[in-house]
Amino acid sequence: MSASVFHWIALLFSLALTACSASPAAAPPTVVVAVSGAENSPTQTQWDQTLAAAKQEGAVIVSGPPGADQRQVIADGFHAAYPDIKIEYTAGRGTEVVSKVVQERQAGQYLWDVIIASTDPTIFSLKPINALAPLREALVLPDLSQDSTWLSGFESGFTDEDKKYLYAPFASTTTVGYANWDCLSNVQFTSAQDLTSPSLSDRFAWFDPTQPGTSSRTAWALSKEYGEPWLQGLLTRQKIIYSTDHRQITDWLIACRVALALGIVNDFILQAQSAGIGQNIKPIPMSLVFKSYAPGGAGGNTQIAWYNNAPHPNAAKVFINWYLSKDAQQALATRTRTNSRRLDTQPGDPTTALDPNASYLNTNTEVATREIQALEQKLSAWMGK
Amino acid sequence: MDGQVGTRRIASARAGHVPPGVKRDSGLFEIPGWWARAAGDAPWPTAVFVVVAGLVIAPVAFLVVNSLQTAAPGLVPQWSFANWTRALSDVRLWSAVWNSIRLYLAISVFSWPIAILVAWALGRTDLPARNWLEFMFWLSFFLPSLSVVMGWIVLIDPSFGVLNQLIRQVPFVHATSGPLDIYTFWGLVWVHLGQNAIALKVILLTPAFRNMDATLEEAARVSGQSTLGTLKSITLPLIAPTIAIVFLLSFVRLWQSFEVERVLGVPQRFYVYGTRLYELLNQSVPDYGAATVLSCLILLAIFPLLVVQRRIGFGRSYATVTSKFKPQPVRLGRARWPVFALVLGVALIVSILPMASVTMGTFMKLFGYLFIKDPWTLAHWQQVLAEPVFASSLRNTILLAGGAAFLSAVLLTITAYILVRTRFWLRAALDVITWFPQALPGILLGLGFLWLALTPLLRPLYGTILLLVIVTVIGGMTVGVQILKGNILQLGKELEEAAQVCGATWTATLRGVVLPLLAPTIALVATLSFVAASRDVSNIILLSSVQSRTLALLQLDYMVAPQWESASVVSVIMIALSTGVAVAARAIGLRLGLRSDIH
Repeated sequence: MSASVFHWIALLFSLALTACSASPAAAPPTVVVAVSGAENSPTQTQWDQTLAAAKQEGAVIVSGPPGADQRQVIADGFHAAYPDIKIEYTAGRGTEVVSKVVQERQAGQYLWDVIIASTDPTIFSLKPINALAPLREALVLPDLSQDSTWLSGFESGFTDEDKKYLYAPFASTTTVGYANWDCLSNVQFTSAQDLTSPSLSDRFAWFDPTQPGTSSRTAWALSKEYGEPWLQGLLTRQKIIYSTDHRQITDWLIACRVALALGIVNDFILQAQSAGIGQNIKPIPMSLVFKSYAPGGAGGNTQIAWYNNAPHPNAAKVFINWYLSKDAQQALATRTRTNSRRLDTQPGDPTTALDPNASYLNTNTEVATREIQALEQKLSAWMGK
Repeated sequence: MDGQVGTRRIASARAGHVPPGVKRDSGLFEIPGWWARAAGDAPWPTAVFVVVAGLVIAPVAFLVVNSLQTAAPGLVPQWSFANWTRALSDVRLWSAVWNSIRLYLAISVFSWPIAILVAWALGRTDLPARNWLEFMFWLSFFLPSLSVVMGWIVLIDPSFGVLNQLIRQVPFVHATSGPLDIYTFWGLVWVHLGQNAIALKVILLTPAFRNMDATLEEAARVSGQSTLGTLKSITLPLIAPTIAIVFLLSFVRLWQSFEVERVLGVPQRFYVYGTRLYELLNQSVPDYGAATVLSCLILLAIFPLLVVQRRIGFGRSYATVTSKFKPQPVRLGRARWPVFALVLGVALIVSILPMASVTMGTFMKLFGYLFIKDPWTLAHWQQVLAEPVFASSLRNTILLAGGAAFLSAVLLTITAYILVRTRFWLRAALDVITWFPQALPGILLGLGFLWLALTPLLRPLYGTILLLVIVTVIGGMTVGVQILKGNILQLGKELEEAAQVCGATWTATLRGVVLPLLAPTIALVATLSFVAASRDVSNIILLSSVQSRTLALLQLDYMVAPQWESASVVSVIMIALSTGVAVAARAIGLRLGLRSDIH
């Protein structure tokens, strides 16, 4: 073997060893939650007993949304708060995690304690097989179930019809889309009706609304505001550019290849703006599009539920109480730019914070989710897919 | 008498039997008596068949049965053909099928001639630096598809593509967008060509060309044939089995391709079979039943092609590596440097350009944006290397990919040998079975294995890296078995017969004669398995646990975040890992295998 090849292999090996032994340059912020109640109160006693039992169990098995930020706040944050309870955190798309859970439970294997996910997979796959336990049974700390703790009260956080299983501690308005106002100089856009205007032909992008997520919820909200025939007309007659990639649409917006984009997330936009470009890309004002109710409310992929027959029920309770606590909620809100419904936290994204005096059309409830799923089938046909 | 004994030994060896009077096994393992009685005179082939068939058919059977089940997951089963009728009566499906066929034909028209010429130049001629050029095509295979697609978008997006911007600077070009447009049918074709369509064919065909016997070509040239004429009339027919295998592999792979089409096809409303499959699996409740139906269609579609491929492979002898093997490369003469420039150009387009783009992206604040203030940064590398789970993910990746490479090298070599060299009565069935995994999307195969892994037999493996190794090996077995089959067909039988006549056992012949000749190909298969396993997400996502998280799953985390640039850092690390392994494997393989020195 030639010397040059050896040198190359040695270089690669050194890189691998360096990577393996690299010490963290900057640890993510940890959240040490001080959960307290009055000394010797029944609540404190119950909490102490639960915590002691949880430490005996020694572990909690949690699945949550993919994303480095979520993983670091949830997994590392819980570990810092309760180092005696090992957290095994699996990040993945809700549909994949739930497919796995359903198969396991069919085989008589109960391997999970807590799920953090959006409405769709939980409601469509877990609820029908009675896999979930009522969340109230997990809440030990009294402030968690008090109306004074939460925006619009405690009950409004449940997104399932029974108001028992799936709880959404985060809430925000649904940003319909973004516009690059630098590219709209010769285009009239003063209301949603202008979306059908020929001047927007081929200048208007939409994240594939047949995919579950913000985009399909936006489509549903538009159908509620303007009716399905209007939505069908928009999709069949307007020349819309579809994509299944948020980054791709953001690049188009920046380059003015499109002037408007519906259903995209703002992460790439914020990255671009922090690098000095796309400064005039802003959310489409709700008032331009929705006259009745703007879409928004409790939801997202950070809703929490727990399983019956959980292998570590007490550790699960400790985790859930920690997850819903002020400090954990604030850490998640800040890190992932979302807004907790806890009234004692600051919004992570003030532009999408709910107005407590306004009414919203919640696109994340079980009822809405079923309607959205039915609409996705129609959208596919209207789009000519 | 000795000749009769030798003839009997040869006949027995060809039948896959270990005849009486010959040491049953002086190699690695003793065969238990109960197994020898159950499997008759073909204990090893039967054992391999049971293992391979079990690990492939069980999950596939589960999926097919599940496609007839129409109740929601976890509820009381209801059986009907509803999934089948729904999937097959969808007009959009047939439109997607037609688009896939069009795309395949367009890609093939360009990729086959280019790949054959390049592979011939690399494997049969005195092209300078041909080993390094060949390696550049391997590098192309290591690159993640989405990163490559994004790299090409940066270059030829009609609005902001760098190449388009440069072209529009030319005085006589008056255009406000384009002229190159990646969001067209031909843009799709170009990206496929620049991605794997040419590179994979070159990787698979070059070893077959390298194993050509120069005496056959010399005879043609002495008879007045030109170099290209010899290629057409002698060389290509002799590697027909390998070409048939590569054709089938590329045909099946295209049906599952969806990454490129998702990014470039959806904006122009060009939907293919793979995007249809992808949609079914990404609904609120994944439609595994309908997705299985579509996968079964692929299996049915390739079945007649499999029959043709077997007829080509076993209709006559394609042995080129014989006792009189002469590895003399063809001298290109004056064409040497022009051919070198052509091959280098192709290699640069398929590997160096996208590799540079992906690597550059890891140091950019915003991938693709060169003209912003302070575009460069080390922050993404710092973030990834400081990630608390990075070290464990790297370790798991090395274990998974290394295990897959080793297991592939052993299992797939034995499987391919049984298919080609023995008369094992189930070898046709085994050949067909090895194609099943290729027809299934990874997530479906993963679902099938999830069911299998939850049975009492495999339950102890659930959540372990060993299970992931098995799944990735099975998921990639089609490519490995077919490559090895093509190469074994080129080995003359008299080489093994000579060893057996001299008294060598079957395992001794395998170790001393066959394996050294196959060494470069085994190294290739092991490398491909390593790369595939290190990048695999879809096969393992339903089976992995916190303890078995790999770099590919960490990369997925970043992509969803979305932190593209950090995801690219993980890609580059995986590419570096694969490159190191490929360099070592090639060095070992080429050292042990046939040499083609210039005299």
